[in-house]
Amino acid sequence: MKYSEMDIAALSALLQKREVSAKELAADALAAIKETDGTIGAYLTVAEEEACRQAEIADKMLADGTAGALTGIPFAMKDNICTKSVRTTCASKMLENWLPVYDACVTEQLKKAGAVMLGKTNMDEYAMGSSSENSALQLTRNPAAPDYVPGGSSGGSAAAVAANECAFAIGSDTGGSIRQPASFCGVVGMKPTYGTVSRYGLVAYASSFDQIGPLTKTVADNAKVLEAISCHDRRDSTSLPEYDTNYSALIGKDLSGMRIGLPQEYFGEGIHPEVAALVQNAAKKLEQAGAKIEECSLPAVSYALPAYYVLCCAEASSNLARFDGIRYGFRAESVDDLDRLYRKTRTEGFGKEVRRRILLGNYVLSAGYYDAYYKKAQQARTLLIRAFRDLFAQYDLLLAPVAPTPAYKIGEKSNDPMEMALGDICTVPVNLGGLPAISVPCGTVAQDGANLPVGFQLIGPAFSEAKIYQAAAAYESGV
Amino acid sequence: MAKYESVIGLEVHIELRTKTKIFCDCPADHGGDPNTRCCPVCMGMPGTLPVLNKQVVDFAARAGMMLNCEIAHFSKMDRKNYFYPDLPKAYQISQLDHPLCEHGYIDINVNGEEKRIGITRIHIEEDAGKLVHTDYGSGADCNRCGVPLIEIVSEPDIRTAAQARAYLERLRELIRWVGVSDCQMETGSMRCDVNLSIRPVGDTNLYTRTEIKNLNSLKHIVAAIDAEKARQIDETEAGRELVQETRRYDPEKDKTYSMRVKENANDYRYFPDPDLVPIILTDEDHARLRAMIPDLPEERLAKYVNEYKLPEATAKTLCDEPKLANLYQAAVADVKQPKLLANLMLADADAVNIPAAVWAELTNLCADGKINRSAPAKLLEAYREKGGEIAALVKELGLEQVQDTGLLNAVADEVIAANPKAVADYKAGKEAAIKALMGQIMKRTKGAANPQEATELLKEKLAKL
Amino acid sequence: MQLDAKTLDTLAWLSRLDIPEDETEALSGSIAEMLTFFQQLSALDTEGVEPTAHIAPLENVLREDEPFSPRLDRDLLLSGTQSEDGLITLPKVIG
Ligand SMILES: [Mg+2]
Ligand SMILES: [Zn+2]
Repeated sequence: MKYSEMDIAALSALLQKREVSAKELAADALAAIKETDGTIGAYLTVAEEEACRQAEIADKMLADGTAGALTGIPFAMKDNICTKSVRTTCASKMLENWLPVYDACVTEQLKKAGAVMLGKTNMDEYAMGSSSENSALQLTRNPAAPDYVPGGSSGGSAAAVAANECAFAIGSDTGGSIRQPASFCGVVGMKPTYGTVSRYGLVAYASSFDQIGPLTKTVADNAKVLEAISCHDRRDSTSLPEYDTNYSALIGKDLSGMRIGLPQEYFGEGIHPEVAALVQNAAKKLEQAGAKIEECSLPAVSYALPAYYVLCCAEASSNLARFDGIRYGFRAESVDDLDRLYRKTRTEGFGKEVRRRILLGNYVLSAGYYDAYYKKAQQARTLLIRAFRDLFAQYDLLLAPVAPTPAYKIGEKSNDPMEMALGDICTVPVNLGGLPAISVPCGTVAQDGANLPVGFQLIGPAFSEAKIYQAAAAYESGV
Repeated sequence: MAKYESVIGLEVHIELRTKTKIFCDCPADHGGDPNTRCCPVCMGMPGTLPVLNKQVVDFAARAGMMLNCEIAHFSKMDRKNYFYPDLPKAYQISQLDHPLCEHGYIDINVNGEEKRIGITRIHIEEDAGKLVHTDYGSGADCNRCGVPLIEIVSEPDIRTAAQARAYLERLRELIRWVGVSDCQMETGSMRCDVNLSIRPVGDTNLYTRTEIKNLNSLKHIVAAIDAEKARQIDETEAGRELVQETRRYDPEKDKTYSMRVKENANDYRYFPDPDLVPIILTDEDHARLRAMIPDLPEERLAKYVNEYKLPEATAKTLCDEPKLANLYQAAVADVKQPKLLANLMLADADAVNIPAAVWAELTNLCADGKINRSAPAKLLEAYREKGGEIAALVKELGLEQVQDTGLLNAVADEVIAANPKAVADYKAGKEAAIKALMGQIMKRTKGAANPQEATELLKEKLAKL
Repeated sequence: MQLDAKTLDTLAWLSRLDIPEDETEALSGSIAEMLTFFQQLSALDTEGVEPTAHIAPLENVLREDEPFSPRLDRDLLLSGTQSEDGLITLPKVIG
């Protein structure tokens, strides 16, 4: 087996036994990127020099006994997470040449762990989208089927893992942006409890939803990466205080006594029948592993999508106002009037979808509309949080599809933002509730000669990551 | 012609004297070259986040208590969205519907007439940066970005420029008194916007108002109020309708001018800042802060004169400097001679930087005759240089006053014997001659004799001669 | 649901965006479509329901009034910025 095909656990064992050095692994990974990324397009920036430097540090850690689970492991970072002196573009023309002067908390954590960053991955511009087609800089293809989208917005991260161009990748999930591409590309993707991973250095899209998380080849790897990146960060007011972050603790334990609910609303109209069947099949496997599966109901899901879009457009309109051409990034040329400079810079620097969401956000926040849209959506959020709380009084976890369909063809939905939005129906309730949820591969759907991966979703109450990993790992080991 | 009165409300912004800014740890004080007191957070760089400074909440609540406000139990931060190049994030973090303090008042006195001016609210927010205008265009300096402010909004209870002045002077006095800002209009640590409308005397309705911004001295505020009132009367009398707008005062022409802002510019699209979490102040928090609120300056003055028997001038000097008064207040409970404490403190140019306990100890050592009156200055100098215990410094510097009457007796006899001329002069009625003898005693005891005791002893001995 | 030209114009101004002429129709159509979609919320009974503004179970996250992070120098802070004499350069601002 090639190094690039191995998971973190296997690579780490080789590194510990000195059968390979971090430097060799980095060189191998960079070679793999050169070989395949021409067709996949997962990376926006390959940070060859930085990777080699980091690998040297990792080799020292291995030599002096300070190495941990991720030391020497090559990974990819979504391009909305700040990396000092390595350009961070958010896949936007606005930040095409922006070099952050500081590292995100996640970047720091991974450096501390000795992981080796290979580069930055493509995404929907400012994380707004579900197919990565909204990138202003590059097209990313699904490694399972090149004519298909990899999903989004962390499409580059999911594709990089699936195409063996890194051992793991970091993504961000505002309304499904880790889980949905993980499902489309056939990898494991986790969106942790809101506040688990510091948002310091994550370029904000919708601050009360955004959460960083890992994309990996296996469930156990995923837990290890989350352990490395989660921490209390005094620079993020929404960062949770220190608590038990031994997310791997329950992996391998059997599921007897675990109650898993199957909310019927997730299996209704609009769900591809083969996707529904694959998820039902996963439920059976979990039952065989000892869990008690029961159908349940979550009617509140029906207004999750409009509530989500109102709130995240509102937050985005404010978060993206700072990109005005004055302090960093793109500035429109030859404008000598301030308001003209603002408007020209922002019109030329932002892509269509970003501009559309900014306009929508400003609409729902403006005088006279606030109560009917923004406040109403916040109230809907309260109701959904209560509904989840009630369900979790009866169930340890909920099982659902990640997306209504498998990956679709490049260009198929890119001109219909509404249809694209409807694809987020299964993922956004989790973000509204600030809950943890994972996407785990559970088979493929054959379509036009391609085998398109599909994942199922396990949703838990806040702080239930260990339990989610336990169930996900039990499923994975039974496959 | 109808007689008009003006209806005035004031919005006052005051910088809080914290060490660091409101949402990052950059220094908050004035000065520094452009863009040297800022960081990725206050420059609004992508990915950065705010964390609220605890001292800002404490200071703002204390200001509110000083101004008789109710302090919130639940408060939160909101975003006020607008584009301007001195505002890096294109939103100001401020407070909309849950300000920290509400429903306060200030009592003023204009020409013997008492009046209570309501305070609608006090909220906390961040300051913007500074624009510098140069030959080639404009430049932005982020040093002031994120400096903590309180905005104090009055009720429209003010009727005249004189009342506005009295309100601002009293506000300044109280905020300085509670110790959360120096409130200097010259340096911009206190700024005022005026909202003004007119109405016929006797009418109780509110009419179209204008806002006059960027007034940076009491003189300009008073003049701007008069000028704007006159303008509004002229417009009304001429049958022209007033428009709600922002205006600027030009002191040279003594006129206000419309700032003509674009339509829709003022839709600030406030919403709760998702990067920050709610501020909860419990009853215990309220009590803790309440305990830090001093009594009113005039109450303090009366107490100093009546209870501590300080001369009026001494009491006033202390109360004029809030820091000094608070220090005095902290030390006075532990001393036997409040007047001596005041005199010692006022004799020192930098009294505020010496702890209250040290002042109390020095006062008591003097009062008990354990050191003489020239000793405190020496002790303070040594204390500033190397710190430590005052008692130890007294020993180290040999400043214990001689209380051994046997020794003093012997020295006095020696001095009398050695200075027959001074003795003769004294006996001849020249009382001042005793000073020469005293000087000799102090010299021989290296200043350790208690001057009072020595004088008495000398007088006794000379009388017997 | 229709989005008239004046509303779109106001929105564009608040957003500091231009609406390219060839995008106007499609854009107002798609915004109107989304707004109609949002109006599904009006059917929801939210009488007496508190709005959720903060999702983290936290309050009073406050910082001591002390410096704690390393200070970055001006050259670095302004490295990606058009600046002159340490000031961020702008077009002439009147006011
Ligand atoms: Mg204000
Ligand atoms: Zn700062």
